[in-house]
Amino acid sequence: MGYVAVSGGDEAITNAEALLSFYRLKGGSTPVQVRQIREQLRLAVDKVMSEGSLYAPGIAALALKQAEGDGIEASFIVRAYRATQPRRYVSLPVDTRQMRVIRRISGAFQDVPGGQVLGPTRDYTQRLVDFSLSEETPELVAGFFEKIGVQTSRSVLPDTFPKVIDLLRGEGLLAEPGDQDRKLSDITREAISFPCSRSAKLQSLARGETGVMMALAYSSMRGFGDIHPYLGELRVGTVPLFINHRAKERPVYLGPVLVTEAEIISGQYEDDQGIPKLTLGYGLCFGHNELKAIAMGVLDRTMQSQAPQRAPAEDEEFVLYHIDGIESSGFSAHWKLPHYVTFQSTLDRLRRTQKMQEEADALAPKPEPEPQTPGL
Amino acid sequence: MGTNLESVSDQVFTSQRFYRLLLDAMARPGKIVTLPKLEIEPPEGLSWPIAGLAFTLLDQETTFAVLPNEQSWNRYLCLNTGSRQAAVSGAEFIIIDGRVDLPELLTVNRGDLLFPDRGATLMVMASAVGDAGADIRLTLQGPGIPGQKDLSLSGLCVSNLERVQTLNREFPLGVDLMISDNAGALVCIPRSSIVQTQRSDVAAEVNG
Amino acid sequence: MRPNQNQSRKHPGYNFAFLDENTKREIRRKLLKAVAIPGYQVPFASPELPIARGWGTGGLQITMAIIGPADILKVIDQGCDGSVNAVNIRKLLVKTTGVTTTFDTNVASIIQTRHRIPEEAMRQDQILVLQVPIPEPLRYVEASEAKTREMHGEMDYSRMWVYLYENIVQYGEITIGARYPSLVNRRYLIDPSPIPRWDVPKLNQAETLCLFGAGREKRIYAVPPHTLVEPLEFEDFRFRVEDFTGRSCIRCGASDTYMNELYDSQSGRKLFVCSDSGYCDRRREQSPEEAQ
Repeated sequence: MGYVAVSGGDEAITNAEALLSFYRLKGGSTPVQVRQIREQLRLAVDKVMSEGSLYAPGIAALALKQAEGDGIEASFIVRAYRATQPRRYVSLPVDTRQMRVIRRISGAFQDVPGGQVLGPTRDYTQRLVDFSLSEETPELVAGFFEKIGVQTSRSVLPDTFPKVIDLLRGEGLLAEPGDQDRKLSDITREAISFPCSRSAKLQSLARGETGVMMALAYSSMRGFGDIHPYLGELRVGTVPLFINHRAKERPVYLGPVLVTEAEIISGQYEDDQGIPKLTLGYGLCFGHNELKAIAMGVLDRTMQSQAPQRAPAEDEEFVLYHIDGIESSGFSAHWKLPHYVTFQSTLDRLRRTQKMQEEADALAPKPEPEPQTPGL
Repeated sequence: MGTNLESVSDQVFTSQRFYRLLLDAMARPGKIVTLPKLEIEPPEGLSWPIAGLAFTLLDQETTFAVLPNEQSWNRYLCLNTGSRQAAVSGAEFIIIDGRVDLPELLTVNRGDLLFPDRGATLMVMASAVGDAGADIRLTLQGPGIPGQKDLSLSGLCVSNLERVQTLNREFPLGVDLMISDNAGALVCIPRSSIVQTQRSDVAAEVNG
Repeated sequence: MRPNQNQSRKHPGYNFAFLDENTKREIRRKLLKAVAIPGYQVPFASPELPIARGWGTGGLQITMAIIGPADILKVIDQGCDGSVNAVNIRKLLVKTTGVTTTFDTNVASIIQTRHRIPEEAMRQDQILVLQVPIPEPLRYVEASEAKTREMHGEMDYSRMWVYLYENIVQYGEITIGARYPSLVNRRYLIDPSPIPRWDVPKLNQAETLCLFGAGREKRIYAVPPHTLVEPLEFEDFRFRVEDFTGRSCIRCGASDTYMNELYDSQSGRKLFVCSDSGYCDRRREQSPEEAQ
């Protein structure tokens, strides 16, 4: 007999990888194309891009395929890839007023200049399972395109849409940004410290995991906190990206980036002069992800809270340290690593304290037996 | 004369070798290490070992200052590292000609209690490190030093050393020194070291 | 040995040791500050690696920032070179550097470790890199990073002392096992990483430089050689290491090492084995009569 130390770790890992491929392919269905994921599962791709913090739909789609649809794992793959990419330029600031909108709505006003443009949304659909999708054939798809054709609407949509918050600003109703709002940090080059600049908060939120952000924002809306949010404006569309290049006189256009932007309006708040104003919570993320943009706007606002007793969504440390899906999933999963050395140390302590407890009990004076009450 | 843009062909490995020697020196204050000779041509007055250390540590994400404020050194370091010049009081790295009397040293960033790591790093050029006939003798104690260690230096203005000791009087606030000579000898004195100065004429004890 | 210029061409697409030079430089700068201020946690950018957060990215970044083609690398987890996570980390490092690896503590120039310090005393020409999950010793008593930073700044560790005192009052002993809070250079309190108490004394006045990396929490700290490291204790409740009295390793017969307690998968019997597998292997080679 004899105990053999752990070996074969290398082989085990290789076999585990092979098993993953096996599980993905054993069903025998046609291998899914990355293009199919990118086109037909665009919202999953957008979420992965946003949480991976890299605008690269092709990579995000591939990562989803590699991760067998596990969104957090796919975001991790994208984020790790991002870290290997050289950083050559910083873009010029993007003005989302220039957005080519595919969807634009406001909850705060019944109507706004440019109008409410529903765009592609499930908001007003009934959530009934669509069984016809299980029989979708190329012929049916071709038929669909033929039927809708190219339609022109009676009213012409403007190229760009003015901002609702500009209307509020024009009337002096919106609080102006403060000093912490003007400092430009880069959270990927510098660990955050508190109090945090607004740019550092927004960067953290922009790459945050949708689920946890939604839960925290929800907690605030339900009353763990003080803000009463309105959706001033939500817009989804492409914005142009420009850089300055030393060999060119004028800025160079790189291409369009699809983003979702949410402006959360909340009041009231007194500015430096003691004048009551509305405040703005800002949300912006890659791709089409409305829940995340809204949650981001709400959390941007809740973290501005100056309340002495802060609810979790108002505590900037609590929010910013726990919304990164890559960090939280990594640490949550790390308990699967061997911890037997530290556990051994815990057992040692436990045995010792048990022993001490026994010794203490042995030394303690025995309690007097209860006197028997003679017959009752 | 134009500013030299040095070749970067082997920089990954040269930086790594420089760095390991530097790390060893900082972890063992008073231990003298020898940097491998670099085939570079820094401007007059800027030694190749200090330039090499600058290439190893500086880039677009850091700031530096030079004392005295030689424009040729500034241009050379900016061009070859991508680092930006900053005021002496704000720079993370300060490249110093140790022989020159520099009262401005007292203005360098010492860090603060919340972020003592923000205290600057001083890269000091001396005439000789570890020379037996040196005019400055230091005794060092503290982390990284078994017992105590003697260190000989020459070509350093003693007032500069005294200024550094003033900067380092309230650990963990302070600055960290890298001292080298033209032969490539390098020694480090972090702010954690307790330094006693002896001069060849007078033995004096200064609180570290 | 001259550095091999072809190393970086071995794996096109990745720099030598994976990290880009900017990232390496930032870690190198921060490491120097960590060494200059023993025990102080230096914040660093800590960009992502292809290995998950919480699985050693901090230690890995330090190793990647300092390693060179001439280094000889040992990677252990729970003291064992063969454990799956050590294998994975070693593979990534070899893939991106081509360095020679070893299971022998005496031969390695860099040892990256999770939760153990090797049994054999390390030398001044070696560097120990420890993986840290939670760098903040004061997390036991304070959740806020802003507040713990202040506490370190003012050297106000009173709440930690109170915590230990209350431990004793409640249980008769300090119940902290691994991650034992220790004072470095009489100034900064550190979390020595989840090494068992057995290993904490090895940090005190060591010959070797010890570097600590917490990737997810984005902190680096260091214990230079010949530096005082004092685990917190009271005059009447001294720091104690784990008790292995009466136990010996079933493989090599040692009774003076940190041991793993385990249940044999065949017989169900409780057994003890050296946690430091490399050390255990060498003992078996040298004294086959003691081994089984």
